[in-house]
Amino acid sequence: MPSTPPKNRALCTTTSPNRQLARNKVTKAELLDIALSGLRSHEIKKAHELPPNIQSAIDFFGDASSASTRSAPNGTKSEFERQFPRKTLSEISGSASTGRTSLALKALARATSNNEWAAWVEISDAFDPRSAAANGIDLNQILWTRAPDCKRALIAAEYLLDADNLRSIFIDLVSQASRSKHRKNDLAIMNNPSIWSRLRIRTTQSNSAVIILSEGRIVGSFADFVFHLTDSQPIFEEDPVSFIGLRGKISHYRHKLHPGQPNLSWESRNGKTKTYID
Amino acid sequence: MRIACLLIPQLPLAATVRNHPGLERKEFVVISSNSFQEEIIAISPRAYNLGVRSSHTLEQALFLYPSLLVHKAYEEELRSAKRTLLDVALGFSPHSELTPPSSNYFASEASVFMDVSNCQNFFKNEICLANAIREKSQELRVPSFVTIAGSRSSSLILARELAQTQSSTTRVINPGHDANALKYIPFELADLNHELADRLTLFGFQVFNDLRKVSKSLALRRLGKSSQALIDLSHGSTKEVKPAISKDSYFEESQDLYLPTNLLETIELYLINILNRLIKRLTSRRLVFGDINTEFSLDSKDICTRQIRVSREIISPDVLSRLILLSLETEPINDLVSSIKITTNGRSVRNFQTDLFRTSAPAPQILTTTIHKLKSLCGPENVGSPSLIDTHRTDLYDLQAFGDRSNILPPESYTLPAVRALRPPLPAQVNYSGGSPTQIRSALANGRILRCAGPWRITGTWWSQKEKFAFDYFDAWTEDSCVFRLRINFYTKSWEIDAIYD
Repeated sequence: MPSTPPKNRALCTTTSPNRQLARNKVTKAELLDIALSGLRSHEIKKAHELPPNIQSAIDFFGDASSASTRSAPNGTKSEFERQFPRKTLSEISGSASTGRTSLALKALARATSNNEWAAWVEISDAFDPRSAAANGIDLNQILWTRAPDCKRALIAAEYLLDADNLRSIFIDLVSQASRSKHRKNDLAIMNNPSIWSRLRIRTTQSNSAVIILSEGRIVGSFADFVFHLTDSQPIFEEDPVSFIGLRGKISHYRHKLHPGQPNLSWESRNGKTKTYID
Repeated sequence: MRIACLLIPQLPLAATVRNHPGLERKEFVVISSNSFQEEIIAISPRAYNLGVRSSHTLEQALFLYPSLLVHKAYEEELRSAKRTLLDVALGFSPHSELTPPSSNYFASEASVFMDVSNCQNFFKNEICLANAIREKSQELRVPSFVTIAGSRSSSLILARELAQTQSSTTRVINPGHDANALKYIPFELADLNHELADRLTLFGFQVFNDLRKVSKSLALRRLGKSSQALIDLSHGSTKEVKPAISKDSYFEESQDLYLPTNLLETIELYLINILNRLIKRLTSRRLVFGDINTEFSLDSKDICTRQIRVSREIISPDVLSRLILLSLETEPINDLVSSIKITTNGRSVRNFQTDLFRTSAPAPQILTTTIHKLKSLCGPENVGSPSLIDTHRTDLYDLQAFGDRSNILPPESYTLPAVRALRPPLPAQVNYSGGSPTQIRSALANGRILRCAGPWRITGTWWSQKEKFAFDYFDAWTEDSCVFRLRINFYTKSWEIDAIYD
């Protein structure tokens, strides 16, 4: 068992080595070596040695103060572009306090860091400008729409798709407990697959990326990318007792046309976000 | 000094044709009120050829020609036409001003003086300049007679003469030849007061040349001190200050609807007509729209107003009318509309230079239309750009118009995960012991509190009864895996959950 990992190899472990890894010349034996070396959940330090699709996810959900906040040079794709390409429908889902809003705001920060305009449509009036600004979002670049219900939120999204050239459209469909009177109608719309089918078609015809925030996976197979957040836990610091962050897991699903990615663990502590491969 | 005068001899006629282009080739008269006994204030050329005169009452005119069209003059229409004439002048020279209203015979005319002393640098000669001014006035649908002379009075009198004789539409008097040009012009065109006009008649002075034949002192002795300006004019020695620089950027256009309506399609047609006129006026002065205020006069004599903000790049009447209609759809009017007035303050054109490194964004027209559609769908108070307020309260924020770039406050050094705000805060029942909450019951989280941090106290604006606040905040984690921000309001003595960490 090697005491230090060999050079030119990703410092990561994986529970299910897939074809993508094999294609990148990481053999099963090597993966086993790494797994046995006790490096499970080790922070990625040499991320540039990873296969490109894994690299992008780790970069993207990693610390915003690192290289990821750089705007893309001309002619190259930004990190936001790689993670949420134009003409795609994505979903970030999870129950309360799993970190879905943190991840969505991180994505929004990446979108606005390139001087691109983004739209945030929501049904619960839950967007917190103070928290958004602290997450590095340029509020001047955000078109915020508070729709009274799910139906009007989706119509608003369609108007925004018509506007064209609006880089990203976030639709927050997480319903708050205080909105119980609309909840029944909202659920009826969310459970109607034809709506997501139409939204996906409309998205592919537009020049924008649509990202949906939800409590459960509502878009289903119509989503090109799904980030499902689970197993969350708060991080408390002792003496004095203070809440400093959240940690959880991201299950990453992709449409059959796109290559898969491994699942990630995620931790946000004192405003810094780290991502690991399970 | 070189002064150009733009003259509209019959302002009510020009204003009517400007607002209702279909009347241009029709027999019509303009009246000032709805009374049959009212005198006619303007007659179209075709009606004049049929024998209708300004001394007739409406009843007499209709007796002469029963199918005569009658239009009532509106103050707003006249004002808009007058200001359009000023816009024509301001498109050439900033030293332009409207003349005060004339009396008696010239009461229905409108004129503008403009200083054209330095305009020769931009035109081949003053004749070309006069023709350009005339063309611009026709383009803005206020065709006027243009004269250029050495003083205001001579240019105005010569313009009146042109309007009477209809020999030409422009006339340029060479510098120093004003007196010669006025030589055979009768004093009636100078719009003199009755007393001076009587004295001139008494001493047999009929045209300007008669005054030139006698010495200045003798003429002044005979005619009195009030004749000084007239004597100077006839001798070509007038001294005047040039018109002041006009910084007026207020634009107003209105239209009365013959038949009051509440059909949006009909209103749209009128809106496009008004906006077309406004756009022509603004572009003639190289300005663009500011905030657009639209006033709808209703049949019930009420006035309904709508305000829209538009990007500087939008100068399409179709887009603008659509935006106004969207504002009407958002808050419908439940009465018939009898007239529409649109006002705006012109803004300078943005000096915007695009470059290869700027990221692409929606076209301003499309973006503005989208924002107005969203406002129509979700309410105007629910669409915009979020902005921070300089306060310690965590739940206060502001909503600005998108594109204003008004967020100048630096973000706080905030190191916690993102929060989802609960507006209004969710009431909760809390068991409190040992300095921290131990159990909670609410619509969001229930059960034992596993970990809790706090309290973090925030108080402020104690001097204001309405705005004072005092909270103790706790970050709590319950056994149902919810992490939230709990607070106790010291003024209402109640527990609330105001945000979820997510």
